[in-house]
Amino acid sequence: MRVTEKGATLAKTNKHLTFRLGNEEYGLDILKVQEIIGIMPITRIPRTPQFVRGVINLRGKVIPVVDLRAKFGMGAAEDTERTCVVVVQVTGKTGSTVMGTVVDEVSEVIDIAEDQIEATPEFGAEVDTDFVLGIGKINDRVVMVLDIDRVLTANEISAIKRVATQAGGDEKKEGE
Amino acid sequence: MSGQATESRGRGISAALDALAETLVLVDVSDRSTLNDLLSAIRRVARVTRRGPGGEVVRAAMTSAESAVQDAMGGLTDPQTMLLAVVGCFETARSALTHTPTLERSRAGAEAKPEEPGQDSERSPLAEDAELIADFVTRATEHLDGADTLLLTLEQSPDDRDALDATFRVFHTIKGMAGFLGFSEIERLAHDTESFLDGPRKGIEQFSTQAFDAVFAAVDRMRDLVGFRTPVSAPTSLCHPQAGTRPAAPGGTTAPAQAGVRSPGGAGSIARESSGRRAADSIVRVDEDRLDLLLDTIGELVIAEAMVSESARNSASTWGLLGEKLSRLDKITRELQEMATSLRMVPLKGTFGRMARLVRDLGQKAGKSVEFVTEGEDTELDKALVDLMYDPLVHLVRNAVDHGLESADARVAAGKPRTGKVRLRAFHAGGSVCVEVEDDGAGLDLDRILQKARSQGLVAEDASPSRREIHDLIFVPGFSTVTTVTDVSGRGVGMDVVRRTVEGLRGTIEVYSTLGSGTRFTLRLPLTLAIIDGMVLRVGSERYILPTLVIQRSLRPDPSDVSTVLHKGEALAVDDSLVPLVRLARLFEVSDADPHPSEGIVVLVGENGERAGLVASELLGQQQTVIKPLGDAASNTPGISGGAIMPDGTVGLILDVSGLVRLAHAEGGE
Repeated sequence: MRVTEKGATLAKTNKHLTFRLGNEEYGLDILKVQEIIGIMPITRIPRTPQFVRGVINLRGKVIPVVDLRAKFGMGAAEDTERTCVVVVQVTGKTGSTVMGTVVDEVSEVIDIAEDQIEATPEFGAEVDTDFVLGIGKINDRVVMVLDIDRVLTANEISAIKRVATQAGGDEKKEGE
Repeated sequence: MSGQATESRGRGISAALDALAETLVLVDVSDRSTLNDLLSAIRRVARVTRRGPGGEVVRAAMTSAESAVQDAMGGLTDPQTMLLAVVGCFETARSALTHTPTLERSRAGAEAKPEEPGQDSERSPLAEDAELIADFVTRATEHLDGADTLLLTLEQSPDDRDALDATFRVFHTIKGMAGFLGFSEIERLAHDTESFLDGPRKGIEQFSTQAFDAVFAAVDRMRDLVGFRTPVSAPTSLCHPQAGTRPAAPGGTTAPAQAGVRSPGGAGSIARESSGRRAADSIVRVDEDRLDLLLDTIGELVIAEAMVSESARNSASTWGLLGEKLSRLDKITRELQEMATSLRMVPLKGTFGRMARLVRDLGQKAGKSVEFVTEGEDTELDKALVDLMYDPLVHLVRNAVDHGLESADARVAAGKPRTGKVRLRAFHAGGSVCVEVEDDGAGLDLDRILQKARSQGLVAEDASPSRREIHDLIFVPGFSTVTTVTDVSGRGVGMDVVRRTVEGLRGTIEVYSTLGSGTRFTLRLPLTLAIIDGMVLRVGSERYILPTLVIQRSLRPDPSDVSTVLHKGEALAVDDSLVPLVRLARLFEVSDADPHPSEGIVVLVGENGERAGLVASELLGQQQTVIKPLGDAASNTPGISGGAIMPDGTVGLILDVSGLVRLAHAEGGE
């Protein structure tokens, strides 16, 4: 079933935006990308998971920003002048939302044909590869092609909501 | 049953109903033979009715109509009551036939089963266009609201030619729109009303009170139909047998025309006058989303402009070059922003007009004569606010008429004029809009309220609350539910809901009352929901916005006033009471600061009776900011009610006081 899903996603386009996180290179379906903006002051939202950097004002719209480093458990890095926010359109069960993702550096837009993408090898239970569509090999480069909908939707948002409801639950207990 | 048979059957019932309507019009209560005719017409309808959900209703209606006629013939009831009942039953039957099959039809598609052929004409192809219908609904509703206002004017001054013409045009327009879309029932009703108004319009006759009732009823019915909210049985009060004062109606006693039946006399006199171009036609309808987008973009423009000016100002050389031009740009952008904000503003006129109608109906129902005065109906408020304020206002106005005003006799006994007065007033005060609902009725009886509150344990036996505190008791949830409505002059029923709504809109409600001379409720509302008046707090390196409305005061306490409770919670002694302290830095895990209350600042806040002291590093000042929804990902954060764009373009978070207090409690328990 996952195979068909992937097939459907990949069939749309071959163009991918690639970006760096640490030493690794990631790719993202270009159709998911709305725009790329330089890093700007991000307002932290208290009591949200670590990977939620906060919210920014995108031309009058407040959008959440997620730190992909934190998300992938890579350890924080200082923001540099190359640090970017890639604004993506994420489609979940409840509709689509616009979100920002902080990446170390945006590289380029490349063609990754379907046959250049290999299925993600299993790394055991330790490594969650659910949001990796596959591994693209272009010449001697290795690009991990992300399924951004999986990276940022369902689990993530509900995780944030859990934080909220947890506080609510505690408060009920407190009231008793 | 074949399709053809169904159709003939359907035609049968429609014809039978028409015949019944005709008999009903021709009935002469003193002539027994006409009553017999009526009886047989009713039976005929019952006979030809087909089985089915609609049919059951029709048959039941006819049975009750039959017994009503028989009662009258036997002298058990008076003929007028009977006529009223029969007309009601007739209405029930007709709406059951028109509406039940509509539901069925949409479910079963093309299968043959409609019971009334007349409704086939409602299936005009245009009627399938959702957008057209939605537009029709909004416009027709607006027109009907306008009709209410106009009719009220007419009732006051029947000679007002302009109002009469305008009323006439309203129905004419509705008729046209409904006809275009094929809503035949609405069209017919509008047409009949139009014809009904034609007499007075041509100067042949004057309106009677009953005639007004009839037209009002027709407006209500149309509104129901327009909203597709028509109940299966129409209330009998919809048509008043005495309503037809126009000579054109044969028999001169009934005018079911007002409830939607085409009376034989009405059909002929259609005045087809051009409705003319109305001033309102120059209004452009704009999608709300587009408007919001415009406001957002202008907001961004203002910020961008401020940033450009700021950088230009920083160097003397560029400032000399650009200063003047930039000030001009600044002026234009501010004007643009003001204009954009005003786009969302609508006058309270519409709401007030609907209240006038409400007062009229309530007064009539309660048998009280009420004078309704409005002031400042041109005061403008954000559209969203106007919509949300409607229910609370209805509640207050209803209370004023129902419970505030005494009966006419009691008023005379108290030395007041027979006619009670209810005043609705709107005005600007500071940065907010005030709406007042005032009556000159009995006022709140402080002693009885206090007594009641004591018996419910809301107030300690030995306490002596101030006048204001007693007045506030009526907003306590469930306060008056145990007493009967007439006790404590009935106030307090649902007053807690009113207060919650108003406070939810960041407004306040106050009551002022003098026993024997009346009560006044003052609602104070922000101009718009889009902008918040807030105090910016700094907590370490972070900034938060606190709505000004919840702030009581701020202070830097003496260390000795702060006491620790069980090594966990902290409390501050203020005015002889202990207020729990909430350390924002700890609660929000701000890493770079956690000032002790005596080093930072404590802001005392109160909301819904809860008090707390928020500990921050410092107050940065007051600011108006544009509120933004935080979106899915962050909207459920406890203690944060939303986001706002700060003047420097970054996002600020708005604190939610009750959420904070709850959160602090929860943390303390861990």
